[in-house]
Amino acid sequence: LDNQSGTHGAETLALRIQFDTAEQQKDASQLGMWIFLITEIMFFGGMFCAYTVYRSAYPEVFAIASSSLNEVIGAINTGVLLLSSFTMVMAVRAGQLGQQKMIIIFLILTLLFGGIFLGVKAYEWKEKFEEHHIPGQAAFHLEGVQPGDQGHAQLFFSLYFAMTGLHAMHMVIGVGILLTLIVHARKGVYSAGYYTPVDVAGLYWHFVDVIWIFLFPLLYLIDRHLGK
Amino acid sequence: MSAPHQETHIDSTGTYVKILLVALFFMHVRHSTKLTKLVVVGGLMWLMILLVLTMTDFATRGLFGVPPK
Repeated sequence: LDNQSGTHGAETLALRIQFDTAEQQKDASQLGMWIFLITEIMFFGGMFCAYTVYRSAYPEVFAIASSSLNEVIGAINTGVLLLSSFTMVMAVRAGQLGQQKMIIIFLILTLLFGGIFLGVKAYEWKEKFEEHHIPGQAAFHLEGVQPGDQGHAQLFFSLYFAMTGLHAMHMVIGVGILLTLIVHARKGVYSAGYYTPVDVAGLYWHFVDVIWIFLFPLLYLIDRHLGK
Repeated sequence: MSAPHQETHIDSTGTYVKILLVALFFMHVRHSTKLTKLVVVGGLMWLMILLVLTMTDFATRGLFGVPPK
């Protein structure tokens, strides 16, 4: 490595040999994460598009199906997720200030709130099984919907499970990323001069939060007055 | 199915304010490089193309007297 780095001196985590400055390396990392997040926006965008098409086709059925979801639990979970985004920001800030202990504490808090969100989500899904609101189930039945429209109600729940499921999968991946960061932070890898992994993981975590901020009103709150 | 065409309402104010705050401050778009800002805006533009062009199809079927299937 010493030969390759030449006049630039020894390679460090904060300044790899292919970059001129640490600033340039940091910008490149952030840009890379954003380009990945854009592909994710298009990925989720397809589902939002399918939702828009079918909701405009069957507005009443979607309103009734939407009202069957528990909006109080959904709202609490939204709060928990926003809180986790806040603790993630605090972890990045601790990185900027080089407070190694605080990085670990805030990452663990973020992990905790993320875990609570997933637990609540699992409880909500379990409820759907008990209520026979699982699309494809032979016993599928949504109260207040004509027999001929039950298929359209199944469509709503297909979208519900696909969208919240894909979101939950991203959360699980996020939990894995947080665990890796915590292990590295405990080894003292991060400092005020190098906390880029915490920074870009934060971008990912906030992105997953943003997806939920869209999912919550679209799935839980839409046209509730029609569904009553 | 036979209902009058429904406007798609999102619980707009709350949602967009939250998104804006998260993107600008949590994801520090405000303090990012110009290139990153361009990527963010460009990405949202492609998302709009996806949604708007799809809806130009579904929202206008039967418009010219051709019965939708």
